Amino acid sequence: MLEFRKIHKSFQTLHGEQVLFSGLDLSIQKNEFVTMVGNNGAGKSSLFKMIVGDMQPDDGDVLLENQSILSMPTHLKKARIGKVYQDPAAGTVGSMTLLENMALADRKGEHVSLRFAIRKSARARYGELLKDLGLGLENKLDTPMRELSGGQRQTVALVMATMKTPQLLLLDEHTAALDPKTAKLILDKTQALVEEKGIMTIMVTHNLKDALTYGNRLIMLREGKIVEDLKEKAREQFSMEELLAKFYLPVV
Amino acid sequence: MDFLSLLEQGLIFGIMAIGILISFRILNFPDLTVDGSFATGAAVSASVLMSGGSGIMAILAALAAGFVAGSITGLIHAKGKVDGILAGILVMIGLYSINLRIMGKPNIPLFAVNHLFASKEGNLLKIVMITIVVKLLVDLFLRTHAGFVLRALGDNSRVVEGLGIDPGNFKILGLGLANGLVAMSGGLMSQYQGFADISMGIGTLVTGLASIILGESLLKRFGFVAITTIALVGSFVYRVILATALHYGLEPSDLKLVTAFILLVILILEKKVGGKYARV
Repeated sequence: MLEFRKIHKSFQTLHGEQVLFSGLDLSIQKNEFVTMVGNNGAGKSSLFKMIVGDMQPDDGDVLLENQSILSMPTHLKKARIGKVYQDPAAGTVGSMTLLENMALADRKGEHVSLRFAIRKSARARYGELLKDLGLGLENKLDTPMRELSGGQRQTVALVMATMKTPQLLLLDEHTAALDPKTAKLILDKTQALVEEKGIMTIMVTHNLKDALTYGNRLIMLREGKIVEDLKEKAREQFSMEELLAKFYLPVV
Repeated sequence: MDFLSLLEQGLIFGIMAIGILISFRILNFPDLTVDGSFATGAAVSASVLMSGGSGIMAILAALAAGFVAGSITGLIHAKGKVDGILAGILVMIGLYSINLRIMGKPNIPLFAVNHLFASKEGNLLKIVMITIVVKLLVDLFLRTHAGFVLRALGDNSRVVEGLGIDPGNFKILGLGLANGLVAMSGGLMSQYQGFADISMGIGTLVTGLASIILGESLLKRFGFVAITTIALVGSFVYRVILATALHYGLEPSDLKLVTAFILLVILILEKKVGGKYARV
């Protein structure tokens, strides 16, 4: 479970203090795949930043599996979290081969030692894993990541982020930089992976259709407040038109 | 200058180039500490020899001293958040005083003490053996989990952090390793030439870079070549170029200018051609 408890956060601007969160409460359960939408400045990225430690709230607490993670060193926090970024180059090491990247992800959480990085069984095992994706990546194990396409890199980034099942998976507009066809492919893979492994997931997206199609809970943020929180039946019955109307509600 | 002594020097300086390859190419960190730590290696090696230690003990002590020097640069950069180039310059300047302290005077002749190259025989064999051991150990290290983390760190530190690893600690380790090798090379060089001198390290980074880039330009057409091989071949070719320059009437004091010029030409050519290695 991920919990935000009474989060307060304000920023100093030229026009004085601007309040973003005033007592935000949000809890996300295991097995929930949350899609999160909201305009720029609604607070989506700030929530992500508070989880990974790039931003501290003025007041309140963030708990992962009932343990406060606010003062935990960043790398220890990230050991428990998987993250896929918008930039396909961000989630993999371009100068290392696909096999080498997979080997690194495979050893996530292990004490770094002087053992050989690539286990004997690795090549066959990663081959199988990649074959399931149907992108032909199993034949590119010895290709440097930078020579793969954006879609391929992003798929590998997703596989790497979930290889050692994380407690939480954060997807930060991870298909925004891809063409529609590739984006759909990756979203389908995402959904399949998340369901198969039962990973608690938050996906930030600007695509309202994706937000309604994928996942099992939809949260809409506006000016630091949750204005819509749809699960199960309510979410199924919610139409695209309603969502659009809600999203473009004039700010009073 | 004969071919054999060029090969000997090329290999000794090649160990230094392997070190710079680790900091500059793998960690993507232009580390100026090496201009100090090369001389530190010579100083430590000389003082071990003067107090009766063996030649091998002397270069192992140099390796350790270089490791400490590099770790300090890493510590200043990773924990003190000081810019990398500046952190290297600070430690390099600091090392100048430390090197003088270690040596007690600006120059220690080693003609009277026993060391690796005290007898003039079998030098090439000794140098080849030491270089091959160093090269193979570095090759092996780069295939370990820790080696992979270092390689990933220089390219994309976010991935390393995402794996739950503190990037700072590995920067410190990598710079320690790089400077350890540079200092070891300095220790070997002082024994080879028969004296340690406080000014030995000047231009180490530029020399190392010139060697690496020469090696890369020559070997990249052969597909996959171990980066340690690139450093060793580049270092040898660089010595040949310097010897040629001397042969055609340049003074030894002109060599730094020649080095700077060679590096400049290669860098501009690489940028123009848009070479794979134009990552400077």
